[in-house]
Amino acid sequence: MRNLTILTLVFLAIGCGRQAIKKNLDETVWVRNQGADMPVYVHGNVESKVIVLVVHGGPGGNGPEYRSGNYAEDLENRYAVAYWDQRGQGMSQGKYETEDITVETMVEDMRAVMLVLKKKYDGSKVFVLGHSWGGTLSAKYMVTKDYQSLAAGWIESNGAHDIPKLNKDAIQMFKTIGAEQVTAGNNIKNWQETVDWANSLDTNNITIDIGGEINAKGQATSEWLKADGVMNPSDKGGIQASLLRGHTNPSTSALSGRYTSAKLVENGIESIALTSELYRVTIPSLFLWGKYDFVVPPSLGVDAHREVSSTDKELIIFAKSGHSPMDNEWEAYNTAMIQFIERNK
Amino acid sequence: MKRVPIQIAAFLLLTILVKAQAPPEETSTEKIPLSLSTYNINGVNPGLKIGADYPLKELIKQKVKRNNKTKTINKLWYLNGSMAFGIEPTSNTNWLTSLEIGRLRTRNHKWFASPTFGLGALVRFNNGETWEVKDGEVTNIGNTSRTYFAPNIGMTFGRNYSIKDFEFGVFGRGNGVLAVGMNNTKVPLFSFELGLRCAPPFTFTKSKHIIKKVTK
Repeated sequence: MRNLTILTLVFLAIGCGRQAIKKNLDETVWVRNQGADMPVYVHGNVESKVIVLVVHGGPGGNGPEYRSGNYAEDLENRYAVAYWDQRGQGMSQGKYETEDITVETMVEDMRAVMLVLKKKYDGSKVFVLGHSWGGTLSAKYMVTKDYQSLAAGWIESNGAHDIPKLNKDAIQMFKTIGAEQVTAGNNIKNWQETVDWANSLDTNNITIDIGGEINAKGQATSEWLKADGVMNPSDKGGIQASLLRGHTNPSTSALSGRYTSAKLVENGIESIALTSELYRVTIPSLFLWGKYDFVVPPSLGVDAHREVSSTDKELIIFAKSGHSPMDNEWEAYNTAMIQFIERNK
Repeated sequence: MKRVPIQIAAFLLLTILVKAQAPPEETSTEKIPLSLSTYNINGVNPGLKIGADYPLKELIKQKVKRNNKTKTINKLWYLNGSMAFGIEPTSNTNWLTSLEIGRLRTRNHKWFASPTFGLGALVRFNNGETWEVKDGEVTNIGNTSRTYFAPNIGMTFGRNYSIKDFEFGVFGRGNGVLAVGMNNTKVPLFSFELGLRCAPPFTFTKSKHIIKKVTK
């Protein structure tokens, strides 16, 4: 009888131990919605009762791409961070039709992810962090029905919520900042060529190919600005992702993501313009942008900050950053996010 | 249209099988070789594979050289049935069942190489709980998976050894598997193997057709 009691207590202790929420969680949760199975990798401090849902860029990227550097390490020490692989990207799998590869379906996926996080981590508040294409998707989510009510706050970082405007403003940025850099004597040949190229474009007729060129030029110019000390170099510390043993299989993710991206373009994402719909956003909103972001110009952040109806809204433009301020100025970036989360959690 | 490549593959497979039934010049009976190998997705993740080779037809070419040494090339057509599982630790566990046709070329009974083409089924299990959302209702459906038609190719390189009377081969192999229909497209999965191939005493025996050609 004594042995049985001890055995029961041991099992109870093990059982209770398993039920207890671990502070530093490393867990994969799968969300199944409309034919897709999507992994959500949850890392960090779940005891905080705050989850930051990372909505990745691309399209064609993956969630764990954002789990690198000091910003991620610092964020995970404070809060739980959920890195979600969107439909047809990263390690997502499933069977569905071409018609299901649309931003509208992905908004439903995002809602499913939010519902699962809120159910599984009962009592936690979810803050959405959408970067680049993740800004497009999260903006669409925020203006759809009452879906924003599931989120405690929206952080849009360099988000492409208005792609036609993005392209026009990027061309203007190439002209003005290019001219400044030529005057300053920085990388004169490259900048002069970029300014000439920007002057040759018809801003009333920007094709998908030109949009691709703008994106590629935007990435290239960041390297010139880093080399000349105008922008901060990328952060090399913190969490380092493993190429082959990490969450993502590079070949699976690359080919799957490339296909999904192409289908999204075919289905019309290049014409998504949500600026005029952002007034529907009423939850606390934070807009984080890099001054030298040619991929998604900071003017989009200015527009979003002006348009949303939130009473708690803030825009921060980082002076030494480009498209990824979490890499260029991670400390200031995290300070802004943490202050925002702390006053709204 | 989507089924055309499958039909062509099935036709090729059947053609080879029918040809393999042509009247033999000679037959030989031997144990069916088994293979056991690691199955490492991306070369680094853990996994295991077992398979068996079912010999169909063998061509043996012997050439006597000027120094009276004989060079022997064996070309064996065979069917291979295999099961493999490979883990991608934080995302998926993959279970591949495959039937392949291959040609094993062995030089002087030592070095061998074998390309294979196969058709199979790939089951991808979600590592971690799956939560399904339908009409706004969230349900934990536990551990679940999805299955895909999975044509695959592979290339083996290895060497035969003999210790006393026991013969075995050590090989390395690269695989490419396509998960057809996954994410509305075809998604590749690459893996590498290191393994042993031998015919232990307990396996079945199978006769195979042999065609011998001797040239000088």
